[in-house]
Amino acid sequence: MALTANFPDIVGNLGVNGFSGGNRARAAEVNANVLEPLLYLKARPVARFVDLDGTVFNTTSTSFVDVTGASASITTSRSSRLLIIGHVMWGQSASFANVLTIDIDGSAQGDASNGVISHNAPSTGGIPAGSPAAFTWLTAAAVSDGAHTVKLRMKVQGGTGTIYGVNGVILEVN
Amino acid sequence: MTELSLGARPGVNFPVLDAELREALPFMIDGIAWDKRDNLTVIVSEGEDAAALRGAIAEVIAAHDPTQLTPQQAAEIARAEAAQAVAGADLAAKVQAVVGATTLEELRPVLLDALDLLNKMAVAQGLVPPASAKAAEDVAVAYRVAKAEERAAAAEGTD
Repeated sequence: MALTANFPDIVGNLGVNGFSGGNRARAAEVNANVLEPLLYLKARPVARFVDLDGTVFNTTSTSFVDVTGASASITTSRSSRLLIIGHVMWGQSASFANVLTIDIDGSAQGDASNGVISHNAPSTGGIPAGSPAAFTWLTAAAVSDGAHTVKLRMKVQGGTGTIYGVNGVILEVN
Repeated sequence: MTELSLGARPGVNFPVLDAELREALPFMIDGIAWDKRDNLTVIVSEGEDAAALRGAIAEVIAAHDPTQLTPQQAAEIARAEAAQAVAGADLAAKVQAVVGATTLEELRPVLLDALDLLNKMAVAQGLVPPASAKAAEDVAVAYRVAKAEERAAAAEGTD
């Protein structure tokens, strides 16, 4: 039977003790419970968004708004948690904070006020253009099996926040 | 909160438009967003009727004057100009002028020049707001004008 790179239910297939000493493992069992997981780890669903060509997005909004171009769709192979990693290069015109959150299928993941990252400008001025900020997010619970849209949303506490570059990856994890 | 996408708006001074919209529609919008193709989105505040505000927003956009500057934009231009003036200053000549001055009357304009340069450095580095630097500059200018008038009057008296 052809390998499919799907992660199997190993415990369901082999029991809690896995392969037992003294028993011969059949090829089908090895394929299903050893090779399939290895193939899955290499081929599991990933997605990305990237825009690094200069001024990407600006906002003066004090409520979260979609960051243009910073979204991607991922189709999970099973009900899984999503790991989202990325960074922005951004700036702020005045002494206010830029705040970024992650939205999955219309549901905000971060804190309602502080998002997943909040970058405060110093009191003497704004955030210099191109300043880096990184974000990492693991969903608290598994998302359902199927297609999901992940996007970045941004707001400011005041002034104008500008994103000069954005880069993110989304990975299905168990 | 509702996002109203209003299409590409090239030539708009977006921070100014943001201020104009907030003034025209107080507490009805959370701000605006625009991308690298100048596509404008207006973020209408929670509880407001976005559809009903479309007309008022269109009026503000139609009346928008992109040549106006926000205070921050004006300050940024002032900082850039100050930085350019500092970079182009002939420091050696200024020091030479101080060394060469023998009377207070000769020294005063040289010191005013030096203070003017110090002022510009502070502005360029964002240590003082351009407005306060302008106030100091105005004092120096007033002194120079008064001295020029004095010289002119004295020259007239000797003619």
